[in-house]
Amino acid sequence: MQSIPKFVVKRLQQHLATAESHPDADLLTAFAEHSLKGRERALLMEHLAACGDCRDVVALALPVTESVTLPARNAPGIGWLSRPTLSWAAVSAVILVVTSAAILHYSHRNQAATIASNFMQKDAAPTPYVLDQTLSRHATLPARATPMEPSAALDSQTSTTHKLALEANRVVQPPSSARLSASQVFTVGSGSAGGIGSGSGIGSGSGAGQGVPPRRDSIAQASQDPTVPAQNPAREIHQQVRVGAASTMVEVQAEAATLNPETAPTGQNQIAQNRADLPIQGRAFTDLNVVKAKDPVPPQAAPIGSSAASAGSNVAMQTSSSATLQASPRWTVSPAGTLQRSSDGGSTWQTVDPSASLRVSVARAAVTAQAGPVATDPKKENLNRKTGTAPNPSPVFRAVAAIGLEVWAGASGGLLYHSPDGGNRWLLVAPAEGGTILTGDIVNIQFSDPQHGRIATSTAELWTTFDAGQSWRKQQ
Amino acid sequence: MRAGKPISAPVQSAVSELLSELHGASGCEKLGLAPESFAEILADVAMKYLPAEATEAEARTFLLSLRIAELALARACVAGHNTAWELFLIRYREKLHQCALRIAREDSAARDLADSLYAELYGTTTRDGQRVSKLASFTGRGSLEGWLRTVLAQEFVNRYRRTRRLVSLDEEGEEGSQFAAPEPEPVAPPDSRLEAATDAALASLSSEDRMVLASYFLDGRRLAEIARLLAVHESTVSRKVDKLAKSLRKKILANLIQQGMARRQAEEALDVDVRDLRLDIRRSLTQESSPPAFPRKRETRVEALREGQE
Repeated sequence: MQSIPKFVVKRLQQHLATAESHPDADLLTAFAEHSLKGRERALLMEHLAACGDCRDVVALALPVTESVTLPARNAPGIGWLSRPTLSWAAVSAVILVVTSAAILHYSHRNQAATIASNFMQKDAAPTPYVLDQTLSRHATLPARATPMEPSAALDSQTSTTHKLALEANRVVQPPSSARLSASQVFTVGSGSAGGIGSGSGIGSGSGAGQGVPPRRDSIAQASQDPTVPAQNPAREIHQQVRVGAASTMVEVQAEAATLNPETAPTGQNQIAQNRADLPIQGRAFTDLNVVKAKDPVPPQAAPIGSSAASAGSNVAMQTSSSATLQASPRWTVSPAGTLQRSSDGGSTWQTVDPSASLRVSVARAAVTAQAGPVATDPKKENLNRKTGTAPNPSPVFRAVAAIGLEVWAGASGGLLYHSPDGGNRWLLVAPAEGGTILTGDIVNIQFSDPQHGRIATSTAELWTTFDAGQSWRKQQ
Repeated sequence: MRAGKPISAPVQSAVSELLSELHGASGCEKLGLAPESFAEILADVAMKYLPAEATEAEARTFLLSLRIAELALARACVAGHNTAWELFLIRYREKLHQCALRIAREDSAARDLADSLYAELYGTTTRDGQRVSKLASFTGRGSLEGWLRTVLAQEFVNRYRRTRRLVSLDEEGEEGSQFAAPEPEPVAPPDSRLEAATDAALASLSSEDRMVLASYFLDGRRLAEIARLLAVHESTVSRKVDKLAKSLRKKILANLIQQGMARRQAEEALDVDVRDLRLDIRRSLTQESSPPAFPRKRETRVEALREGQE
């Protein structure tokens, strides 16, 4: 906090009023209760600027409870579950149960798939029924569910895409025959309250991955085999994250706002669209006073199999077309280290806690065998080992940058959050290159445009991205 | 007999128009307050706050903004109606004590404060044969509960002002040394240009900005408290203070340069207060030899108020 020179304080003190007349108790009360308007308020403010006694009286007379901080979540608290400790305990318990069920179910499916494939080898004609059921079954989602669309098809060699649509009690099971490569994409559904299993799928053909069996009959599943059309192609809302060779990103779907059932265009298109929508292109934004974004792009149905991915590179991020904010909000970090957003130009501020609305933590996928295992930070490794536990529930934020609706927030412990829609949904990003991951507290974030950004940490590390955070490089 | 300013025609007209509505809504019937008395009360309040040239529409808007139910209750208590007084006790007696406890932070002082105000509200003194109650000064601009808090706070501040003038001789002897305090070094006369530049910079600020600066730097108030006063978020106040501090420096610098000071000299004058330097040196030189006569710690005004009453 900036201070003023002592002589200024002394002059301020000398300007104190010594008049005997002071406003009556009614006026002071009306001021404290914000009932005074116009000229009366201005006159009283003039007096208060000069009269310390009246300032003391007004301060003492303020009502006990008065808060202007609005909660980040719109959903009402659920009684005793709204208390942070108990709600986190409930979330952890649910994640644990779901994870265990997922692991059990996954091993069953593996077994079934092995049997099926063995059976198919014996028989000349494959059994499409079994295969179709395994790979491309789409079930009807309940009304509240967030439908999914198949992800963009990857390169044929890296064609495995996992989508985990998560709701309060639902997850999507990845295909049992999925081949994993360096790239894994995890998508978490919106409005989810449960968690998905952890564990890391590594390498090709390992068939590892995460997934938990759905608790209900309906399953939404992405198409893993490009040749198998998805049955419900146009209802994907979720954000998926591609884990590339050069970076590792873990996406966790926060509690979403109202979602548009139509699919969103691919990530690259959306980012390009956002850039085109900006009134001033190429302008360097380093602070929070970003240009007001235009209305969100109407969603378009993404054709199945369309993909911007190339082999060994990062897949385009597929953004959702949720009902985003009409105007770009302003962002700041409070002195207490909380992330705050204002939708009315700074008049009021709401605290936003990305970690509080995280429901799922996806284990970080390792890099390919070529790159070798990731040299992990012990702290983050523990995070990944704990199934379904979200990072520090209340991170201390140190930096934030926003370009339109793209928001990047950095916190202590190397936590980097990204929201593509003005703070409605958040992704937890873990920049990594080769065997190195980002360490230290993130103290500075700069993005000149949605693609190009730079992060500085308290350990004097400098990380840059040129593709909107899909891959990162550590500058030497 | 009614005392005060004569009632203007627009106010009279507005009162007549709204009387039945306000009289019904305020529950005057149950409190025993007649419509004529209530009309007189409304007119008095309007004439107290409205300018002489106020129109009937402005008078109407003003009357509708009052807390008429609480106003009727307070004035019915003043008039000595038992029903009103009973209602007042049920609603506000406990709140009075709780407010006093929150302000005074100490049980006996809080009880003392609340009881003295309670007596004033009831009207233990008489004037011209009539009981004088402090509730007669309530005009309904704010809530009655808020008014009670304000009156308690005023009483608390007034008491501190009274007791602050009295210093115990024993205290002087305990904390201070037995020797006479050292002669303070003559302070160099302040640079008039710096004072003028600072005054000009402060005068250019809005009253709200000056209030924020005074609350933060003079009163030692927390950002959250100032935010509540202004009904904004704490981070807004934090940014405001930062912005004001920076802009003050810029303005003072510009004023000094305008008054003929060289830029470098002006920057030096801003960064270093010679008087502060001198004090620091003196303190460090005399630290070992003699303790200060009356050590005073930096405290907020409110903490000083509370300590004063102990």
